[in-house]
Amino acid sequence: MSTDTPFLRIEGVVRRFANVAAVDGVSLDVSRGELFALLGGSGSGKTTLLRILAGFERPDSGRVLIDGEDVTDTPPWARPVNMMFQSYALFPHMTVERNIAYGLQREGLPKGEIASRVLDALAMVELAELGGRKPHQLSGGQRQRVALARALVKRPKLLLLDEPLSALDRKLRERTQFELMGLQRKLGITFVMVTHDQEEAMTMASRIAVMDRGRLAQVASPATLYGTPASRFVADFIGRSTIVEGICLATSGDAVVVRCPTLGIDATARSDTPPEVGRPVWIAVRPENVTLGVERLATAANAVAGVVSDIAYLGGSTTLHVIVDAGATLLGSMEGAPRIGRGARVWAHWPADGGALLTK
Amino acid sequence: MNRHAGQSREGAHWAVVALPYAWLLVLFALPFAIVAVISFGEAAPDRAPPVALTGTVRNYTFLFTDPLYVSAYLGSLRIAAISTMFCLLLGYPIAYAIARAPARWRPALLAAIVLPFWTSFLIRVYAWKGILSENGLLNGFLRWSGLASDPGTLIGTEWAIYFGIVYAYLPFMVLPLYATLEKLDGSLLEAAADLGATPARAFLTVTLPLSLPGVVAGCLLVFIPAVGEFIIPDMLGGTETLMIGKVLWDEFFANGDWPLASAVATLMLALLAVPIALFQRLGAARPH
Repeated sequence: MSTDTPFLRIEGVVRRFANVAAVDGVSLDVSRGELFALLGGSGSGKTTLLRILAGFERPDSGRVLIDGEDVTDTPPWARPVNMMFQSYALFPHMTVERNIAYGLQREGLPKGEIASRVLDALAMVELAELGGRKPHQLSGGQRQRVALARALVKRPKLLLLDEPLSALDRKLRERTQFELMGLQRKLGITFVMVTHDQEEAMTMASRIAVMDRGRLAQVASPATLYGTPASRFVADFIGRSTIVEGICLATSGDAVVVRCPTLGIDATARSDTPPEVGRPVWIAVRPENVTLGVERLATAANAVAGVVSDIAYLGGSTTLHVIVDAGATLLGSMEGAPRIGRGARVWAHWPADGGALLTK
Repeated sequence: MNRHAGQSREGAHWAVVALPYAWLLVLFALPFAIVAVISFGEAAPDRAPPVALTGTVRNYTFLFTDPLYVSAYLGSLRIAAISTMFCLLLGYPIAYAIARAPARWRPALLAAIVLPFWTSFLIRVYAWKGILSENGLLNGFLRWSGLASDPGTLIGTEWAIYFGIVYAYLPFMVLPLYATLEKLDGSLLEAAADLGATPARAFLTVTLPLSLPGVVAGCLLVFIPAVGEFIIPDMLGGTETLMIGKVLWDEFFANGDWPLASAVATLMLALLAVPIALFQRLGAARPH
């Protein structure tokens, strides 16, 4: 473990609106140079937390430290932080150049330096020839770049991005994701972004904080979130999975046997921290871990029989909904086009480590 | 059938477009043309109407050479300009406060701005007479509170006219300003703060420039009627304050000189057209 203090430290931050806690006791550390994502649905508190980092909201309690300095009471205009707004918030009465120069003028820099830094920023986002345009003369993608240039030209210690790509269409969004990541690596600036799009967070972020009703549900790398979700909320929010309820029957090493009434079997799962026998638990099974077949595979740790009810062909793969005889609906997937028809009787199998064991 | 329907729809379309033009023609352009024509005539008291159309420009040369009229015009423009400035200085903070107030309060606050319109204009100006007169409410309060034992008299001074005009026309300043300020995207101010602007700096560089169309509209709505204002200077002002509206009234009703009165009115419109054109160009130069 390194002994460095974290670059961004959020300590027990609470923010209430009319007695409802939008952010309810969040503590979080972000390292220097990280691309960190706050992920959650609407009302999860992710945007409020970002606005607290920017200084637009003051926490009712708790502290925010940036690079070791307590900025909880620092107004937004004095923070070493810049934000890219979801609506971009470009000044409509100023040209692109003046928009980008605005933050540098506030620092009272000499004219020559402002001009050269504005040109550099325009070149960085590949808008060199559009400096004289007004925001309403730009496309959505160009506006997004101006907003990015305007925030980055200040050379902030921390860049906040509020749903940075939500206003772009799908193709442009995917391209811009990689551009943003490349820029972040090149500049080495710490990024904290808010998104409701789990694919975007998984693609871009080195770590993700999943937020639920003002609290952190889990903070982990994308692979950990997906593979070993900490709760049913995370398992359900990240990707797709079938979550079935059961009772822990027995444990042996990291293997846990769970009696699942809606599956009609005693399923086997693995967990590094096996629960007590007798307590209610849940198993979350990812569709890609479920193998479907007409014959029962004798080698599989878990196997249930059912009927295919729905088929969704996604191009590269097919997702099948199987109604298990005992009642549960299980998601399975197979590569390529569907080779089983609706109404077919199938066996669904998954290995012991194909299901995540959840205790909450 | 279809062609018929199409024609009647086209007819309706033209009627809708033509209506405002017809309105302007009948109720503005035509009467003004009559006034303009009369202004080139001479007074003929024995006729009805008392005008002889001789085509003379005597009325205009008279207006430009008689110091009374020149000072009345200049006085009107000056008083209107100063009143407009006071209205702007007072109206901007009011409009800003209403626009920034919680959404559920705004209708009530706007209603409070418009509420005075429910009482007759004449009565409200008359009420100011009561407030500002020698032994009126204001002086009574000053004496009672001991702030001034021998307060001067406001009534009959130019200041009384400013009180009256600012009071009467303030809503016309507040409403267009409110309309532009209310539309102002709050995230622009957050962006300004985020980029290092203090609240005062953000106001000067973002709020003020973006509210300029409202400033222009408000100033026009106050300035134009204030130039021609007759009732307020007549009731609150003194004899030494000359405003063109009062001169026009005297010329028309006391002297019965229709052509000269018409020339006064025509010249006033010409004088107002210049600031309007300038202001509108200023407003049009800014998109959004």
